[in-house]
Amino acid sequence: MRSVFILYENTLFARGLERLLREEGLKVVGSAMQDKQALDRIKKAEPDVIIAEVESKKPESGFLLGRLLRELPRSVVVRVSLDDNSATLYTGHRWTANNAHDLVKEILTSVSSTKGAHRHATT
Amino acid sequence: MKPIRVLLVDDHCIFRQGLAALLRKEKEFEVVGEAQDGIEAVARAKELKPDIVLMDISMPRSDGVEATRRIRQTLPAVKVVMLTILEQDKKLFEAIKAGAHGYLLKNVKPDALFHTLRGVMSGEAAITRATASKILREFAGQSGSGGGEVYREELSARELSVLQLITEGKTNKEIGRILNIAENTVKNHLQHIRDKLQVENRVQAATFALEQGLIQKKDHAI
Repeated sequence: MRSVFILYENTLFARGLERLLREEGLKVVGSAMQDKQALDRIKKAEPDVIIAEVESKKPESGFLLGRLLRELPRSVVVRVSLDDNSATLYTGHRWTANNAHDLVKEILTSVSSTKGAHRHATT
Repeated sequence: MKPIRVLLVDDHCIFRQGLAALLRKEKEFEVVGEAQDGIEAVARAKELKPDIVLMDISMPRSDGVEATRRIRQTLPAVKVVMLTILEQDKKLFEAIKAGAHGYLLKNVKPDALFHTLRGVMSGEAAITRATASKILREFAGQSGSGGGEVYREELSARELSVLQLITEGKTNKEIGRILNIAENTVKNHLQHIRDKLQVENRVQAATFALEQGLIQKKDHAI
């Protein structure tokens, strides 16, 4: 069973989403508001997927997203926002660029497979 | 006991469906329908006649403020509670003026949502002191222009005193102490004020009083 962690800004959204995901048979292993302790909790929970609610209307919102992608490069992160009905899927993986050729190769691979890039979806 | 019938209006489908899932597990609420924008909200409200509409403020096509105005005009018995991310949302003020009974922040816990819905059904305003104060300050700036003489004549001197203290942010208990009357007597006066001004709660009464220039300007904070 896929495990999910919810990183949120709005409690009502998180609690509702948690209920919906459970009804869909997913395992919600934790949730946290976006604060400094959230990252530790996510690392401890080791979810397959992290759903991160990021609100553009709140300037401080989303400060953890960059750290998530850097510190948990193997995680699948889905960024959602109540501002609109879109979701962005980040499927990152760690790689090392020893030279420009590596960099170009990775960019081309990312473009063709969306690996290492992100995709938008309308929810 | 009959459940409170709720219509959910929000363009974000996941949020809306999540809210419906939360309300569904509470026996005292029944989600009678959902709508994704203001136009659909008005149509669904006319069709379903819910007790309460939980209405997002910002939506495509027709926003929550316009939908609230239209619902309150055509279905005055239907109560509308706005949903917002930010308490500082400028449209919130417009929504209250359009007839909304209050608002809920999307970052409240489900229990607070349930509590607010119950409160609104029993005539309470779902509004924080800070926002009520802001609204009253705004109206205070426009007060005196409403030609409220007719209403002033309808209210007794004691009712005007109570109304004055309400706009100053006093609780029923505080009003009772200041006027040297029992708290229940204050409640009775408030009921008479609501009936005479045809408003539903103390915030609307105070807002109306300031708008119509029924009371003197002071440092308003409800």
